[in-house]
Amino acid sequence: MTLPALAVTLTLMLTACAGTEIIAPTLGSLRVESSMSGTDVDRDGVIIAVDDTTQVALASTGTYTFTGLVVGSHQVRLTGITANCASSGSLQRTVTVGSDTAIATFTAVCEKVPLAPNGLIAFARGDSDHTWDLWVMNGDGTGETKLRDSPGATEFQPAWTRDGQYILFTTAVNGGFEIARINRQGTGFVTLATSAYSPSVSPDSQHIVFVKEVNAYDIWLMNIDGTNQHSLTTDAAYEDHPTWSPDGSQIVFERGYRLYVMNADGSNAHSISTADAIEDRWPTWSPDGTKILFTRRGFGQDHVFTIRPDGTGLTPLTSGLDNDDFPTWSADGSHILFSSGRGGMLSIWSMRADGSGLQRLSLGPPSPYDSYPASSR
Amino acid sequence: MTLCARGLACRALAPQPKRMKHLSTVVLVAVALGACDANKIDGPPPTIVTPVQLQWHSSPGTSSGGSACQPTIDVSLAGPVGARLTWTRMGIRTEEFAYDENFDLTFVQRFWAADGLAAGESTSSNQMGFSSGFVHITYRFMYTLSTTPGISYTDSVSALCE
Repeated sequence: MTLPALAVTLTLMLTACAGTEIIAPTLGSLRVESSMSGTDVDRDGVIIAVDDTTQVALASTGTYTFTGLVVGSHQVRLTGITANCASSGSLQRTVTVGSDTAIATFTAVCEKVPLAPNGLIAFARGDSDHTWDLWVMNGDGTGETKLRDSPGATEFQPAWTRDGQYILFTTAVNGGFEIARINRQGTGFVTLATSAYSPSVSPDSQHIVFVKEVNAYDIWLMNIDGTNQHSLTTDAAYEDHPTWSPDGSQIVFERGYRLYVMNADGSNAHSISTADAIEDRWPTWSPDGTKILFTRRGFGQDHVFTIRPDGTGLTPLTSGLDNDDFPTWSADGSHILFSSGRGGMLSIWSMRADGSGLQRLSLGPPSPYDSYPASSR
Repeated sequence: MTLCARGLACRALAPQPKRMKHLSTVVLVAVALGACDANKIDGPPPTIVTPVQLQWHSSPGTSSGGSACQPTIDVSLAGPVGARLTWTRMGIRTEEFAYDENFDLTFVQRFWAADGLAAGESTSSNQMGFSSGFVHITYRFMYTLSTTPGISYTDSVSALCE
């Protein structure tokens, strides 16, 4: 081949190939549909993976449309489905993407999640007879279970024993209050104290601190079986909602709608509420002993605060137009449970200890009326 | 397809090794053939982008017997794992009134019962009743997305009182 011939040939060839080196592949779309029904439907949704390289999260019942997929076969996989939900088809399948939008549909039916051996939340739920009943649910809000039928009777203020095997609570009887105990299955009802309410079990599970009305509403102490009842305070002011410090050496309680701390024998009672407090309620000590959680009431809504046991470090955790009441710690102290009317229903809510990550736990019937959460270990 | 891909020009230029006298010729032809290789014509598959997809659904409400009309709005967020929506404000317009955006963050958090949504979550509206007479209601929701920080979005959703 002579050089002129080569030049001509190359020119022709390059002309023929000009602009032909890169051709974009033909692209299509894929719509993935997820549908779940039943009880305790997966709340945080599912994960859809395409070719194990691209992942998106979508609601348990929801859709997502992938675009820019090369026409041809693709693997689609659904993960993140909770154990109580079963799919009628394979969770991994091959889908052919063409010129029209391809569709992959996953369906699942969910069953009620069984109650876990620990980490349960007991709470009081208002029912159709306008009384409270005791319910329990898992720490994530699944498995809501009514503990026992108590038609016409109010049962509330649940408090777990440290081993999580028993629940103490307040029951309204003949116009008065009594403290009773049942086991975690809701059976074995035993009355422990009369004219009494607001029970809290000591860290060593040997004692119960509570409120008893004799001449005034005072803080009392009794053995875990209800024996040896005696008062710790005799102040004329209204006192309520005592709870133990995690080491059992102190008790925080309300006196005249202010927070007080005293030694476990009733000595050295002193206020820790700040001077601007109007009504501080439902104090509970954090599991690590560094904070006391409570609700501050005033001229607006009730909101959740923390304060150090020495009365410093007042910190608001909730805000808004709804009342946030009955706060308590999760057993490990990482979360706070409380009752709130946000969303139009009085439900049990959870948030992290710093007030972030707000999440509704109890979903219940159309109009639940849930209060007084208590977390077991 | 191209001429090259059909093999027309490429076949005409098939190398004749015995006639090649110069190394440059070999290189040039090899380069040319490489350019015309049918295996080279497809570009790399594009990176699949996964934008947030917010799905709205409204259900009409009724007002009868003195009860307020309370249409329901459902919303779910789909998108990259870990993506999050945060509500910032809410507005509303009825047939009688222009948009009222005096619904602050606190209000919109109550309307949705939370401060936002994570990808994979869904929620329903609450606590917004209307007396009879309002037939067509338009809600306007303002929010930000963690996937596009600094950008505010607004979606409008219509609902009926029947």
